[in-house]
Amino acid sequence: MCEECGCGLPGPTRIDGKPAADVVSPLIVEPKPSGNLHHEHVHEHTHGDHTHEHPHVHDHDHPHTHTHEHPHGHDHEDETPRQTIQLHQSVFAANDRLAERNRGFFSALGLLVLNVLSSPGSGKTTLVQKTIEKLGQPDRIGVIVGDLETDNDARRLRASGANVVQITTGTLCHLDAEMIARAMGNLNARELDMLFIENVGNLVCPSSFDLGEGVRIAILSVTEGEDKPLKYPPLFHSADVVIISKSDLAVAAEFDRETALLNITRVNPRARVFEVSAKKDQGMDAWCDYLKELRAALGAALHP
Amino acid sequence: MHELAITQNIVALVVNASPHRPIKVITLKVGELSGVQEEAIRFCFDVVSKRTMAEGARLDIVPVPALLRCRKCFLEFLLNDKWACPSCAAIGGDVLSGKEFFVESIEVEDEREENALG
Repeated sequence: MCEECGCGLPGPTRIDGKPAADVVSPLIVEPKPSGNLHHEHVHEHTHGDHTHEHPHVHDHDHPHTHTHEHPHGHDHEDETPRQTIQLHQSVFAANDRLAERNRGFFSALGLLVLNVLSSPGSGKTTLVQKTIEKLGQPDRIGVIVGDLETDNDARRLRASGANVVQITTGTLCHLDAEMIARAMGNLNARELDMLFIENVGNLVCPSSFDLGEGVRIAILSVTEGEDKPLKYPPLFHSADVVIISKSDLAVAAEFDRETALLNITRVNPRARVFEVSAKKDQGMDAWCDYLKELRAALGAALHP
Repeated sequence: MHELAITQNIVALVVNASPHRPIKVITLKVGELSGVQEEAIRFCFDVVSKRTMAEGARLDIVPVPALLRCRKCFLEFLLNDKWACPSCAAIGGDVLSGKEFFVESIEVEDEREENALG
């Protein structure tokens, strides 16, 4: 249905296999802890409804836009009188509010939170895995992995010894701030120094959703081509760090490094750029040192 | 499909502003760099607005072009595919507008006039 990323309607989000609404989180105040525990039903019904309506949309879509477009603007007179209400509200306001709450929670704990975004197959999981191994103390690192269905990535990451929470989004192509707040219920945030959020593999959708992260990281693998930053400016513009991954394959992929760097600068002159090969351990020291510095700065701000 | 989640936000927002009066027009401002696709929103809207006060409303989508300011000569210019200043050719200008995604206004059936007539 979605041409951009191939995903469909939001399915029920699950965290470590449980319905998201069942996860108790320090960040989410439940409406009222009454005897009636069946809140989730509301969610499931709406989703169900969507799926059912779905097939109709195609037929309706075209006639509507046409017929609607013309009459308006002309005939104010013969229709019901109308009143204009100015709203001027951001559509992302609800998510942004939750994201700010997450951010406050994280910064109070001195937790460095990294939101990692890229297209599928650009090496997110390998990068996070190798970074954890290189940083040492995996028990001090948390990972929230967003995936459509499988938990393969989560299993790979658990092997590194880090604390891993899996969010399966069904068919939804991004993580949002509420999912992160929920997922924190399955992590002991006080015991962590760093939290990686491995977002759903997608260059379009996740860029609109602030999760409350401290650092947003966009990965561009050398096999993807140098013009990705120009094709997906919302993501690359909003990133604090751009990682050029799989640098060991640059020659084979005929990767034009200069153009890639230039394109990143065009879209986002303030981004820090790292060129790494997680597999061949190239450039990983500079990247890990950068993370350690960020973490140390957060700690210093908390305990001056 | 993030447009679906986004469209749900739009409907929630407008229905909250007009819980009892049918909404006829919803005006959205969509920045060129917002990452939001107009077609996808229209596509989702019919589904999401079903059985709400927003059902059948017309979506007026006002595109907001991306306006950049050169970091070197401070010229303000519209985004081009090279992200380069048309005057001094410097790249990487600051984005002044074009990231926004707002529900600007809604038009609802006017209750007051009905009352006045009755």
